[in-house]
Amino acid sequence: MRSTILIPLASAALLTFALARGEAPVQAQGATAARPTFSETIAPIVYANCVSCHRPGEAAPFALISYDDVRNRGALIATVTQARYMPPWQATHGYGDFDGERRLTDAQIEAISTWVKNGMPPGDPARMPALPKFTDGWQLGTPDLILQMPEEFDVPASGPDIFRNFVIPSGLTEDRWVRAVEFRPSARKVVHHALFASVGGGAFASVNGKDGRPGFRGLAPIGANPAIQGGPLGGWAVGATPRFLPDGQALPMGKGSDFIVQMHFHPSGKAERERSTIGLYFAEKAPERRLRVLQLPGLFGIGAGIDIPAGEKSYVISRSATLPVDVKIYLANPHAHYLGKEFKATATLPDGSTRPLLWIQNWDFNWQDGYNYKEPVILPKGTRVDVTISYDNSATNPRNPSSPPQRVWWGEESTDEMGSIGFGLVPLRREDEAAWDQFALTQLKGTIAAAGQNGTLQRVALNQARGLLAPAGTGRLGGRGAGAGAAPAASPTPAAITTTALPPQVMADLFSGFGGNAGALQRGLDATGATIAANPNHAQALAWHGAATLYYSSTNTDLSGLERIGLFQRATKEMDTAVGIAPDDVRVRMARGIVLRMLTPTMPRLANVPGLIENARADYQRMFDLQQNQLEKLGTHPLGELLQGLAELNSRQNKTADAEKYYGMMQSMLKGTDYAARAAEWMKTKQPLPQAQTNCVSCHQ
Amino acid sequence: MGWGRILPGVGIAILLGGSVFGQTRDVDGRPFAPFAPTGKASLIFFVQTDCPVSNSYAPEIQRICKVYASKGVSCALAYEDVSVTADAVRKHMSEYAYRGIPATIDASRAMADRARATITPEAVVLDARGSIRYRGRIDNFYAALGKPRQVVTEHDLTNALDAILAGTPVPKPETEALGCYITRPLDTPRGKQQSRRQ
Repeated sequence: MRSTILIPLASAALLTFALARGEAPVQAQGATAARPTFSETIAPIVYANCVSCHRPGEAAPFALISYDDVRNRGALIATVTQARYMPPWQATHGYGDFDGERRLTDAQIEAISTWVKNGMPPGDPARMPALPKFTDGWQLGTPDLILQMPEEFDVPASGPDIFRNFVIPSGLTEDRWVRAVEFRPSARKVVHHALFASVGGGAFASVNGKDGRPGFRGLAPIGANPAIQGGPLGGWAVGATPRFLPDGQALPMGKGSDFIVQMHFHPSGKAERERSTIGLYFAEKAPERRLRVLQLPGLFGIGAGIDIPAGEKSYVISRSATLPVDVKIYLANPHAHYLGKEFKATATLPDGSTRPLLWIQNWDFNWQDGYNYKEPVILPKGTRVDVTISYDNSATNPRNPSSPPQRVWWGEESTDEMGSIGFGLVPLRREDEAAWDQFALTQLKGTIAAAGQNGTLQRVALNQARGLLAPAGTGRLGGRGAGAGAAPAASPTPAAITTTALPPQVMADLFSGFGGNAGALQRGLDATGATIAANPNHAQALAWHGAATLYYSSTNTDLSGLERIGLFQRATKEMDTAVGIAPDDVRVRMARGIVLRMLTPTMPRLANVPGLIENARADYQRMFDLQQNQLEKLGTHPLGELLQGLAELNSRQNKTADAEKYYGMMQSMLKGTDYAARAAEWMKTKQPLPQAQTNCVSCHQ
Repeated sequence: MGWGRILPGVGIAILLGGSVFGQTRDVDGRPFAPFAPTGKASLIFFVQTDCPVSNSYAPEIQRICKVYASKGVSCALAYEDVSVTADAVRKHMSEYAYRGIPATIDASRAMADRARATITPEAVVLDARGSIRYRGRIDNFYAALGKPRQVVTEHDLTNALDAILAGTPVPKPETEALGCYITRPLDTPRGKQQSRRQ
């Protein structure tokens, strides 16, 4: 199981942070509860709870250090502490015991209020506490690797929140394990939170900077992209202090990988420029126990059927899971967008007792935080974990991104919704890891199946298809809802078989598209899409439209993982439908066979790759059977491709005898060609060769 | 129009300017009388250099001033920091791109008291006769402190301006502004009074 799917990035602040906690101030002589003074009562509260942010150079908008600083904001401080808006902390006190809880006691809040009502007396300056010492520079010591954004990013003075991803090449010459990430934004007043991931080097090269600004747009969970190697590396939010992962945990970061930082900017009224610096701390070696994630509902709620009516004040989703083994939970990371209201997670043990895990009563997207348990929560096998999430899509919710409210589904835009809590855990015993991973895989499959059944995947795919099928030039490929025209309904009835061949120009475009020509691919998609629209049962059009869609979805990094899954499902369905309609049409078999053969080596296991390889092999076998009486007439290239594909797929399925038969035919029938040379190479080891470089593209362009 | 009709008016304005119209100097040393009737209406924004709510409104304040300047509405800024220098204010105005809007430091809180402004940012609109016709928030971007709306639905200030320009009653002459409190300096009687009130 790839962590890219298991642990998507958004909200996966696996490395989470918190501020120093305030201890209840010691009531010094002179000041009393009835007569609190600044030096004796208020300054200790402020120094322990506020100044780590409210000091020059930090994220908070003003300093709270001197008597004048605090007096000037006295009424404001009394108001925001009573409302518990400050210090910022969303989890309900006592429902889960978290490290770094930012919270004032009722007595402290009362003391501030009384002090303000009493005219904010300064007290005896001699009794002022010392200002806490703050470490300048790196909080965790000198990092093992320091990265910096290659360019500055301009944040305008006003406008909506900005979500932007930046790519920083790591330059790593070997695989490493990350224990902590320390994030230092340059424009602290506008950077609200950041999420980190590592991806294969160059994975976002096709989109990075392509709109003329550094990075690329979007709120997609980067670590969820199944086509991209890597995974999440935690996050940062205003007020956070960096920490090492608990228990010697570390997250993988590959050789040559790119570091991705997804930032949420709040325009502040003043134009700013951001160029962050990131410090990475590596472990000496791989962690003994890899962190697992239980996400409820799975995959940020894609399978939960989120469909919130406009105006609905309390829309609830819930999901439970029963633990297959004893586990140790380190942290809980909630995620929703602007409509999220309440999160509650509770564990019910086999003996019926309950354990509170997390309760957020007034979710605020702007204070995304992860919650690390002070002591890991140990739960026995058979414990049921219940998660309930509610949403407020009424006009009275000021955070509602739509006015008037709109019907809201699951999706990746800030106007869509998601909902989940991710628990970071390890099975208590190492020998239970396999059982856990099997359980997680079953959960994941269930989530994806549910997403298919409740229509979420189809809707995501439909949005994609609208972009794909838009007339050329009307929208970017894969644009969300861009362009006109709905996706064709690919639900042909076998009664209306159509075997008309596609025009040569369309075929030429498609082959050129598979060679990397995006414009040609788009033309091929447009042409086959138009054919399907006119005739939904056109087998060749379905097969090639599906093949081109799959190629597009597998190679275009502008897509999120979930968009990719949606497109993948639609593409394979189109191709399978086409094969069902016209199983003996060589061009139909060719479309599916070629694209599956090309793409399966880089697909994640999630995609049922063995089944796809078998489909591809069956397609090549059928093409071979249909043409076996005229193999000599095929010509070097078609014959070579046919035999090589069949041989290679058999070899990949460990059917060495069959592979040997077709490689043998290549040697005997195509003497002196590259095909024969390749067959000879295979004969040396009889192991699958790296995929051949010569394919249809080189000839059909 | 002859000089005979203007000069006495000018004389009276000069005589009364300092007191009646709150004439003072802006941060660039030019005469500044935001309460004096000018044009069809005048607009005073009470702001602070380090209040995040006030700062986040800088682009909107500039937009409103620009749009309504062509309709005969003048704009002014009153800085309500507890202690701030003219240099710091000029630097703030440059950073937040305030251009062509006169500003002054209301160190004594005389302007805030006169307008009964208590929050930054807070807007006050005077009509052509110098009467205060609107006081309160710019719009409902903030539902509560720390709770910004994703979509602004009530534009109270521009509604008031439009009504004044159209000669119709202001729909909501007073609204509650959200932001930072205007604190009175300690060394003034009002400061001590305020501290006691709080």
